[in-house]
Amino acid sequence: MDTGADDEFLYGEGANYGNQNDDEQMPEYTPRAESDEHNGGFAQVGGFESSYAADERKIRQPDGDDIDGGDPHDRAVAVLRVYHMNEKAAPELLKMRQEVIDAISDVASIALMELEMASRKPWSDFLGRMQMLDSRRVLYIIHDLFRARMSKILSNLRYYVTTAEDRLSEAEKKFARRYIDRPINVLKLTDEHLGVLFVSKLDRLRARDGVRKKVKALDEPRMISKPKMHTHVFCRVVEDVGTKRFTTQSGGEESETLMTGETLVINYSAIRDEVERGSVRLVKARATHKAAPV
Amino acid sequence: MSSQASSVGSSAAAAAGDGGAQTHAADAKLLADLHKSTWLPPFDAQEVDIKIDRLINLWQRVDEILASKRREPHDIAQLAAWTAEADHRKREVLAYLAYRLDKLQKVRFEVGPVLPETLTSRLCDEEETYFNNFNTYLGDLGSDLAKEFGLGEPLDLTKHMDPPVCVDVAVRVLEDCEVVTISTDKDTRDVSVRTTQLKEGRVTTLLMTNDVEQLIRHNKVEIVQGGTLDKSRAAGEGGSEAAAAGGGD
Repeated sequence: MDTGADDEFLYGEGANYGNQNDDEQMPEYTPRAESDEHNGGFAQVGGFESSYAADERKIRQPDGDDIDGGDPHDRAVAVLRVYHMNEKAAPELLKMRQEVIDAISDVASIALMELEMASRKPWSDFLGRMQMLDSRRVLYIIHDLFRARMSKILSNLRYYVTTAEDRLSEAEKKFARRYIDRPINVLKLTDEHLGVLFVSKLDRLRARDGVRKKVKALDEPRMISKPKMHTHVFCRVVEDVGTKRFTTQSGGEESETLMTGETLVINYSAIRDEVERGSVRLVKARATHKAAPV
Repeated sequence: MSSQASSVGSSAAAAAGDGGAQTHAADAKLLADLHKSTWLPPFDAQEVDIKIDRLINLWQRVDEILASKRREPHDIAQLAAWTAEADHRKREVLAYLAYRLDKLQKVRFEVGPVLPETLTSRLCDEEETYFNNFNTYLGDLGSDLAKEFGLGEPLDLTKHMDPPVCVDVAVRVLEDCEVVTISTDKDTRDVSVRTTQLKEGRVTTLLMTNDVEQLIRHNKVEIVQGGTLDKSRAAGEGGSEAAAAGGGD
């Protein structure tokens, strides 16, 4: 029977018998996606550890070189993958925890170095090509993460610059401020563009100052687009949360009980804090992982 | 009371008249043209000016009534109707401009830093300036992120657009181009830089590097086997529209 290392080679990252002893018989292939308390609460699909469970296991293992400790690099990649998925699925910009910032720094430099080394290996070097593929995966996650953040910033520029600037990194703050000015007395890129094509043409308006100011305003509260916090998202509970009360978009009160291992669709505003803390992990609805074939 | 209410109602109807039916049809045209186009229609400066002129006209009338301090039911109804219409027109023009800016930002990830003539012909001068500045800011963002997160080299957010499916990919060359490869001899450790010329019509297997990804996005080669490159995800929803727009609208 294949060992755990060969399973990763054949079926990709995450496929292993990490929750089983060598003496145990391999279970029959039964695809399911439910909580399995005997295996530490991680859902298993087809008897193999899913990529989600693998990420959670790596994040929770203490760093170390001994057999019980996890590889710090693997842990950093797992942290990055979880944060990437959360950022893609969340309607708002998430705060970057220090753990994520450290993970980005750790894995990016290693991935770039490995990619360069691997790209110089001969075509026939199979392990070199696998190394290249793995490095490109990591680089894709990093690039896509920052693209997703940039997209959210550009969609809700005024909101993030005026109200939620604490969610931006320093580089992102500098980027966002180049588009709009706060307060508006010097036109920046978007305001400059709108100024030339719209606001400046309103100079012909012969009216009192109050009316002119209102007509030319680009930052009235109702004009500022905000993230849709009541969007429903798919999520997976990784730590018991208990009963959560939240307010719906219509103003009603609802409650939901969140227990470890559950996968559910819920109003994002209800789990916003839990996502930041890491107790709940967001899942993209179209994201699929294939169960390993028997 | 009822007569007063009915007089306000009829005043509102009269106030909203003034060729309202005709302007509503013209209103729909500006935004409807955006959605009919495969990417963006040519910038309609004339229509935008008409909308802004109407907006100015409405606000001048509102200001006249406010300054006169008239508060008859007819005046209140006119104020309500005109301010509502003025707000609507302002939102319409800003939505038109913002939609075009959004498309410009997304197309940057599809076609690169230089827009082809088929796309620039649809933009006004200010939009071309905006695109060039956006290029600059994107590059600066990549550099700043690299410094802040200790990434080593500047981050080019237009690269690594898709998760890698496989290492190499079979492609058919659509037009003559070249790809640069760097390799190290495993015995002598000599580094060699090789430029491979790709002739139109040939089918060859290439390592899926950023250079090859760019060739695929610019339609110089197409994937035959071994991977996917989702152009529609490259620049958001309108990604592949820009490529289609290159063939005409």
